[in-house]
Amino acid sequence: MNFLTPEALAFAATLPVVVVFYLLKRRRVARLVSSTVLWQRFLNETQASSPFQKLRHN
Amino acid sequence: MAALISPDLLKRLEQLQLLARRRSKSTAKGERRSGARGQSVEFADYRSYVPGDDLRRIDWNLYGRLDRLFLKLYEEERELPVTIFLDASESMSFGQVPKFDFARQVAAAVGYVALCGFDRVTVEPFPLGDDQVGLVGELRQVRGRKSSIRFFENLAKLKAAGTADFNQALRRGAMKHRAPGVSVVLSDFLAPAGYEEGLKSLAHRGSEIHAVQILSPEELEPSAYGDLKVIDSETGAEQEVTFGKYRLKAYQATVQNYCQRLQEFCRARGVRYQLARSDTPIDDLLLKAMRTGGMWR
Repeated sequence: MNFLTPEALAFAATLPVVVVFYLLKRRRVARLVSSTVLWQRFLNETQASSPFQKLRHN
Repeated sequence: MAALISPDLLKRLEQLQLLARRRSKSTAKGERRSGARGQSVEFADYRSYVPGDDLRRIDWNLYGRLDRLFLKLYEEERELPVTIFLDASESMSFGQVPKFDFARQVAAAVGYVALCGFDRVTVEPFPLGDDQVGLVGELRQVRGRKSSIRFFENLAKLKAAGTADFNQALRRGAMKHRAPGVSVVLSDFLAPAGYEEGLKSLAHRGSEIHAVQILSPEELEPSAYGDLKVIDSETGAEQEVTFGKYRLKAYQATVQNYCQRLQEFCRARGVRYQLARSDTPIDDLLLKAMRTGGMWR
């Protein structure tokens, strides 16, 4: 048994990947807050902006 | 909002007196000690007589003893200008009890204490909406206890909306109110451009500044969990945040850091700082915290 166009099969295999990524995508709930100043600071303080940044400093 | 301040609280506020560390430099008469010489019961100094001086002010007992003419000088009592900078930006309208309502109550209380003490009160809301220009005129240079009812009514008509430029508002206010007195800044101090410049320009004027930072419970401990996209009510800036109970402590540390930095900034410039949660009873803040904070006695 063989396929007429194996490329098409490879393409068909990529389709579920796209669907999986879509399902994994974070859906964010929009929320109106008074000010994002505190949130920005919170993210700056807790998130490492580059990989292993925290490790390097320690 | 029925009444800004309950009658009970008003009665207790009447007994308070705004404290001013420096002598009044205003030119209008009032009830505050000033460096100027004039008429009051408080003796200040002697000065030798110069032709043209008022003969009624000569100390005749001294003339009888020394055969020389001296004038008795008294301390002139001048008024103390009190300026209240009220943050009326969109961000102040948040909270179960809107922060703006809380700020208004504090403004009313400060104004009332000042009016009872025969001081001149000006409220400077920022930003200034087009429909509020006439209203703000009414909130300027208010004097006398009788005007307190109108003062409260006008305060109640103010609305919180729009984007505020904190620094610009304070800089302008410092230019406008040149006579140093007591300034009270009521805001959440969550300005994207920072608060440093504004407070600095106000402090340079030599007036005594009280900063009251009003934060809502929601800002101090957010109850929204999950994948969020928080939108700034003033600037419309969006920020993607994933938040959960496990990050609450870290968030609170951030808030505490922010407030602490503001407090240190204030202390370095002689500004008195106070943090107030908008859901605390107003009596506690006015009669306890602000009294120990040196606002009044």
